[in-house]
Amino acid sequence: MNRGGVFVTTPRSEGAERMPESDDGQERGIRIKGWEIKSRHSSIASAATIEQFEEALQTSTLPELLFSEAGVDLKHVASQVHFTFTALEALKDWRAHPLPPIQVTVAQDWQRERMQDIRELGVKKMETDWTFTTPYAGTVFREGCAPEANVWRDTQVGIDRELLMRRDPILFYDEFDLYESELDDHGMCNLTIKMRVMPTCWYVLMRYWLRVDNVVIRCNDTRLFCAFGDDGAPARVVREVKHCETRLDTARMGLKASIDAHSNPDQTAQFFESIAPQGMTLFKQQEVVL
Amino acid sequence: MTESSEDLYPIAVLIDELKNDDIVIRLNSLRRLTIIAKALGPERTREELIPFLSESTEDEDEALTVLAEELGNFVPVVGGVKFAFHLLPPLESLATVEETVVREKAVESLCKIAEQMDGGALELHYIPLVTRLAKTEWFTARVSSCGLFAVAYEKSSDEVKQELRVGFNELCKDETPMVRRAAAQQLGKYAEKLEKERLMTEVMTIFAELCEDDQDSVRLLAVGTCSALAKLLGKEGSTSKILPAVQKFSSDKSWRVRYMVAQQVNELCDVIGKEITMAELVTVYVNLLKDNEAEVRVAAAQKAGDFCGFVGGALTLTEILPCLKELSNDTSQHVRAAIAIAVMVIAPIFDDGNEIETNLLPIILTLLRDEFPDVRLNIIRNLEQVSKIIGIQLLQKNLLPAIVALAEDRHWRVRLAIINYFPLLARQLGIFSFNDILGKLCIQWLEDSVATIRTAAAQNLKNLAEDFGSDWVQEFVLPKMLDKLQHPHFLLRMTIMEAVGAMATVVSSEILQTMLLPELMKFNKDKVPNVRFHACRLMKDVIPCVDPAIVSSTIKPWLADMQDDVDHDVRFFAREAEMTIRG
Amino acid sequence: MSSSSSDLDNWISKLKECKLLDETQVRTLCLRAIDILVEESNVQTIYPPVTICGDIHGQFFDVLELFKVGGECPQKNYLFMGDFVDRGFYSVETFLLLLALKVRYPDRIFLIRGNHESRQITQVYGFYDECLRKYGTLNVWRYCVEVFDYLSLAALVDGVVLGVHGGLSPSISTIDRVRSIDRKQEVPHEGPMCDLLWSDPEEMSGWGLSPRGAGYLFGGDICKHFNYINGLGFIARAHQLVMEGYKWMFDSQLVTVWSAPNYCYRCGNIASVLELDDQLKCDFKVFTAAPHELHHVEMRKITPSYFL
Repeated sequence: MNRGGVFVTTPRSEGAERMPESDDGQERGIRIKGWEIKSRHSSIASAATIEQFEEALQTSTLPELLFSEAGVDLKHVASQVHFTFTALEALKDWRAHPLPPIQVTVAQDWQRERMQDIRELGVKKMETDWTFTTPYAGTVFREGCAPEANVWRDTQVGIDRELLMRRDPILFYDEFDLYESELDDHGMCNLTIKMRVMPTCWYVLMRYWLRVDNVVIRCNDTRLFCAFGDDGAPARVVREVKHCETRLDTARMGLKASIDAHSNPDQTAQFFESIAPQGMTLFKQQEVVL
Repeated sequence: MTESSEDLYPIAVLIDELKNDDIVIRLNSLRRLTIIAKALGPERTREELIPFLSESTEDEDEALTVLAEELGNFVPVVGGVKFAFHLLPPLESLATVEETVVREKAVESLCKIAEQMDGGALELHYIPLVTRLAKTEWFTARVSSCGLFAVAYEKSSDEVKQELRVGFNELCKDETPMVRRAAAQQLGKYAEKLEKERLMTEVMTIFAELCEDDQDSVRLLAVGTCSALAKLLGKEGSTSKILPAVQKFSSDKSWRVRYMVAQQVNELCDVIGKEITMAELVTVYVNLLKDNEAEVRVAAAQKAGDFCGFVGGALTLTEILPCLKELSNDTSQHVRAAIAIAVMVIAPIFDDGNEIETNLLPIILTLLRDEFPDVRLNIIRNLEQVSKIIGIQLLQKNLLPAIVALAEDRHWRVRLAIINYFPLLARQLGIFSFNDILGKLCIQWLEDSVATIRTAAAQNLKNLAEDFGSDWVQEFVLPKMLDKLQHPHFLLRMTIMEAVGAMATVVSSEILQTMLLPELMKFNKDKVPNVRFHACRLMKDVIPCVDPAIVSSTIKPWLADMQDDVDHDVRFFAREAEMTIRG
Repeated sequence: MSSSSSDLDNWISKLKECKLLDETQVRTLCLRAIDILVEESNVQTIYPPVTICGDIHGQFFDVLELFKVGGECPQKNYLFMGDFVDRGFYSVETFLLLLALKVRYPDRIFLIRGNHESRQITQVYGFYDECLRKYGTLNVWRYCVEVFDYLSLAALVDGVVLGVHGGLSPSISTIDRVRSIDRKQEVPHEGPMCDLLWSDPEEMSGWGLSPRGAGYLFGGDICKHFNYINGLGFIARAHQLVMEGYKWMFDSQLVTVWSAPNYCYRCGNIASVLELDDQLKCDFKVFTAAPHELHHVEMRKITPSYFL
């Protein structure tokens, strides 16, 4: 199991401080410029937790690597508003926006041989989206209240990438998975978090990534960003959502080559960047002011 | 599955394969480059192969790495050191590529070749290469050049030396952090070759500048050179130049830098000596122990043994021990695990039991109850040193209850460590106290759920039998064990049998032949083959201890019988045991 | 091509130190393994006591831990239910150790095939690349995948416990049907051999077709009926990760055994092996990752980056 997030520079020297670590050492956080920013790592879910998730989501199909306790919590102290990312919320959106199940490359061959059995035995065709593709883009709620879906407003002023590219010291950094599936050896999918806190801003990237071998790749990115303002000034959080998808079976590059080209989320993301706007199925730029 | 042999591989094919489209084939051929060169002879190697290789530097990184490495061994095959300069051009271009691994290999090979060249050849061929790389616009070449200075310096003329020094100085001030980092990393090796009188002046100026670098990755590497530089500077130089830097770095805002200080603290002690360490470095060390970051605290704690040994008991007691005590309740388990080792290794510094009782023992007892198994393990593994010093009374009163509690620890490695400590404990306590408190545990472990513990338990009984003698085995152990020899569960039968077999080799021949051997021999009828052949394996060790007459009258027929067993492995091990009789 | 038991003992101790055999040694070992495996039936007959293990996926030091907790081979008998390779860092060492033990003690250790013991899957999930990285050529991979084709498909302990990697197939109603499969080939997409290695149990009734479009799911009634027809006590299978190391289903008619602790060096799960004693009594031995494997967790330590 990974230990919690890492503090790169002693936070105190940058007007920030570490928050107390949880007893198991899995939860760490930093307090800076009116924000409390925490991340939590987790082992995969126990049988009992899986049962709870199955109950809450009304399904018996779950990613086999479900880091049920993992998550990010960014709290704006003055307004008591939290921005969070958790596996459970992500899977709720997966259930709420069901996609038709993708068929693996061997599906036709596999079924052709077994046509008779399938008919005679009354084999039930399962319809769940086994890739766990989710449009989830984070949760927002005020402390003690239910999550609010409609707080985001479209904006023209996006994430300050110049600020993010500056080599300011990183005070707190973390990366971990919320869930992952080996897709029964037909590819891979995962929902990962990367986050960094600098003296001037914080930045979170949540990425859903999918590769079904020789069939399809997907990349659904959510970026959350906030530049610290002066004391007392309202905080502005920017969100950028981008979904990309393309078929692999039309590329004709061969199984091994296409897997090597998309062996991790970063490769696929770079690929989509290089062919943009081709492949992009959704782009939103939004803000919330606290 | 085809046969492949290096010698038979046709050279023509290998050369052809150097140009193959498949990387695997190219790699295979590159690894045999020396053989190709030998086959071509020095002249054709110089005139055909090297030019060809010089043009092959557009390949994949994996191939380039192999090429860079192979060229380093090429001096003999180009016709010896006077032709070594032919190897420089391809390596020069490899030293400029983007991939670090390739460049590092190229630099390594360049140094290897330069070491063999004489001053004249260096000046003619090597120095211009170094200067070119150091002045190349693209930074990768400059990074590589940093590693090439040291090797040429000694053999160079004064004029060239001057040129080299200017070149290296410039790299240390390079605008690209990657280059400064490479220079900082090479500083120690470079300083080693420089004239002594330049150490305090030129090298220290460079060092001071790198120490002030605004990139923590550069400072980090500057700290890394501290101990190497200190050794070169000697006591006085280190005290005036290195010590202040270390003091400053110990509160650097980057934890990696502080971590590096902790790593080097003991080497520095050695150079600056006891007096100055006690006056100046103790504060630095204590600050590292109290650092904000767990990684730094761990690194500092790991150095406690040597550091405390260096400063002695008095300062340890007043300055360092209070920190260690506080850290024994640290929130990080890794810090506590490091402290567990630290308190045990510093124990011998205190020569009297009282100091240990009042100062160390409370910490030890806290750590023995720690929830993290590694912390407990680290204490138990080092118990020997402490229990020797504190004496029997203190041991029995304070430590023993904690030890007994750990004998049933839920982590098997903790139980194993306790078992391994038992023979020593037994010697200290003596037979009567031992039987009373600990004897039962020794038998109980034979039924442990973890196989390693059961085996260790059998071995433990053997060790104890060696110390306490055959009577102890007869009166204390066997009565508790023999009824279990026919236990319905095969695992227990097997473990008890293993204990019997182990003890058999150390007890008196009377006990062996009248009590243990007959029990062991009963297992030939066991229904589980594993038990039967394990009996044969044990018998192999027992045979040398038994009266030869009894061996041939009873064991030999027993083994002969086993060699007709239905199970292949029983027959095998019976045969093996029988060979020891013949031998 | 001859190698004595003392050669084998040397290879075993070398492998136990996580050192590689050289290519010619691997070749000899694989050829001898094939000689033994070719004689084995599709359904191996095993007599208790035996310890049954699930997926191990190249987690070499955890396999050593498994033996430390469960007992060394040959003192104990073992059945490994496939997925020896891929995903972990030491697929080569892991598979060769098990294979060397198999050749040295053919009656003490049994290896059956998992879906990862296949040319196609190993090219995607690690074993192929690992062989290439460690040997510089693909010969070792070629030798090993040839051995895969000879591995048994199932094992039957004392006639009452069936061990299989994945699960059941609609075209297999009796264990005898498994015996008639021609197994010496790459795992095919069609037919019952594929199902044995790929299918999963599911809390449902009847048969299901996986939403992926390939792969069967079988319900509790199917499993119970199969066990009843074949006089089985229960089915032991592997193939699926479970946090607790094992999981009973269908009123104890089927158990999933998982033997790779802290799977992929980050799942934090417990592993287990199922010990069947000479009376067929079940006892699960659970264990956690070996201290050595934990080093990989440190290796994976997060390095901050200026990602965008």
